[in-house]
Amino acid sequence: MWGRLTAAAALAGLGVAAAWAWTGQASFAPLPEAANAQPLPGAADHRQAGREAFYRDSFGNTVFLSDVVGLLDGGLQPAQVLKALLLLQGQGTGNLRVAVSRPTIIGYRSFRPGDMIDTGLDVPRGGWLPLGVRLDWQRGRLRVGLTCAACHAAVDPASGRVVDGAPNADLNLGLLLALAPNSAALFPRVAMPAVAPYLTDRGRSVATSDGRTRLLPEPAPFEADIDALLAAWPAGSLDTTPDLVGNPVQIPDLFNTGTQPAGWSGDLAVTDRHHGLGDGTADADGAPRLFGLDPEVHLGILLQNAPGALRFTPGGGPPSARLPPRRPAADGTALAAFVASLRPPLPQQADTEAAAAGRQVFLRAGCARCHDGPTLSNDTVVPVAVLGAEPSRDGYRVKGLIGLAWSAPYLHDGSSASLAVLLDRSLRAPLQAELRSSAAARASHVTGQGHGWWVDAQAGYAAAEQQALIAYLLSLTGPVEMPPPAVAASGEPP
Amino acid sequence: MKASTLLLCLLCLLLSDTARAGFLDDAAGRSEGILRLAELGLAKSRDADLRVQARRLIEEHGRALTDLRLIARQRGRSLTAAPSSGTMAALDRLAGLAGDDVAAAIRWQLAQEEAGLAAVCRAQAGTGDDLQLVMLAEQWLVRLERRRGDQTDMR
Repeated sequence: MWGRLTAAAALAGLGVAAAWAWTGQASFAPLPEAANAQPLPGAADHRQAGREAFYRDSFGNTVFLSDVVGLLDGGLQPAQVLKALLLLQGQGTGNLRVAVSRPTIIGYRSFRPGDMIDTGLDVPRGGWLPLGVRLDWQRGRLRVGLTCAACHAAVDPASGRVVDGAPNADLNLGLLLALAPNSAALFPRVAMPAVAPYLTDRGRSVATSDGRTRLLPEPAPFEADIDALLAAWPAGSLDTTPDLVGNPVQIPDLFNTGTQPAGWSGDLAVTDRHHGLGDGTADADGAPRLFGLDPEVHLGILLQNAPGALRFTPGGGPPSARLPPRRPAADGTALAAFVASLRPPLPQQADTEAAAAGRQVFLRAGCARCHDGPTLSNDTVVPVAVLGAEPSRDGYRVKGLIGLAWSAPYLHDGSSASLAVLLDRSLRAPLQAELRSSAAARASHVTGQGHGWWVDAQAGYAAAEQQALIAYLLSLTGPVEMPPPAVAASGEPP
Repeated sequence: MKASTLLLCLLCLLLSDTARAGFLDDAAGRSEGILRLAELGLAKSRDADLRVQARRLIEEHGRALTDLRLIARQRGRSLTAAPSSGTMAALDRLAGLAGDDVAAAIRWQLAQEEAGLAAVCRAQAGTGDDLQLVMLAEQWLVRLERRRGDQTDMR
């Protein structure tokens, strides 16, 4: 009896301490120590300020994720997350497993209370909070926001230390968002080209900004369909483009951002803080042009099922009136300076002989025609027709190749588990066939298509040459010097 | 109520219902025509740009037809997704073409069909009647006009 009481008291004490650290982390909890800290000259304070923002600033998505989407109001509850963290006992993890709190059905999957889900959230050894998760206690409500580090930092499984800039390759954002009660607020990021089929209740109306009447979708079926589409996102990916097309891309590493633009489509700046899960209500002004919807209709869709005070009741005045004032945008230069300084950790052991041979294969195969410059990207966006990629985007930016050892899986859709799959037709073709047969992959435009340049037997390369090239690519940890173009282009692309 | 007023009301109701059915069937027919043209493009042309456009259109209009069928079912009716006789004739003509001209010809015909669909949507959006269909037409119009803008940019 006494033992149980002591254990309960200890657990409660730990809970209070963890909650204290959570809620106060924005101001005083120390940042995790990085395995790839760079001793760079000059402007260290500026970069440090950028690192603070990288780990602590949600850039305004806290209100959107908490008060609009309801990230902590659905199948995931704070108590269960806290329990999962306490059970780690400071050991850290690359995948925080959390028990579902209430019965939930998403697509064809049903979750019972107690079922464990893989969040993919990383917790560093000795840490008490997932990387990139910011909690705030405001006006009697616990709110959660995601910082850059949720997606762009990861725990090295070997050392338990944090690698700044490494993508969190198993972050299950789609499922986490689908578990929230108002995932419908993310409708522009899934394949929802027209809301008309859900406009079945003529009483569910909203006055538009120009005094007309329009309808809002029936919440339950709309939410259910969006849940299913979000849950189809592969782990480690999110849809960065609110364009009513569901085409999530792999979370990129940040080791190649010395040049701009960034992002898979080459349409982002590092300081564009809304590329991830920014505030969807900010899209309202552009809604007529982007989605063919009046701004008030757009906001009505986002807020009609919101948990708490922001909820909009159809017929109850303009939805825009419910939004809190926006905070001014923070200075992004420190963040940009920090991100530009990121380099992957040096490999523990490298096969330098194979890497040297691989560099020759790289040049002979003509890779440097596109993969040129210090980060091995010529910074151009290649049209999908040239790449042979699926057509839901116009094109893809040539990927920089620094830190590839940390950014598996590969290809924009994260479908290639290894570089061999990326470079070898005999491995990619079965992958593509498998993806074609998957409904979830089709819903998310994950096809395994793209980068149709090969270093394989069919292109005349021996297995040893392919392996050497892969060894070279995996050895890249910093800026590279390529020979002049005339030499680099001596081999035609296969 | 006078018999003539009642008759007038019934006539209005009938006409308005016919107009809604007209939009659903017209839009479905246009979408089906675009779908078939895009499939023809994939089957007959190696032009990489046309093939990308065709794959995009097949997905978009496949989804559009699904939405239209759903709305028709909600209204207790079936959908007639038959391309117009003009589109059918164009499809026959294009199927007989070969060589480099195919891509350009299919691209031109696709632009005609999309312009036709835009006109159908514009008419529906302008009625202000039947909010479900008006909002559908408004959303499609934005998409169609954006694509027309993209094609103009490309030229």
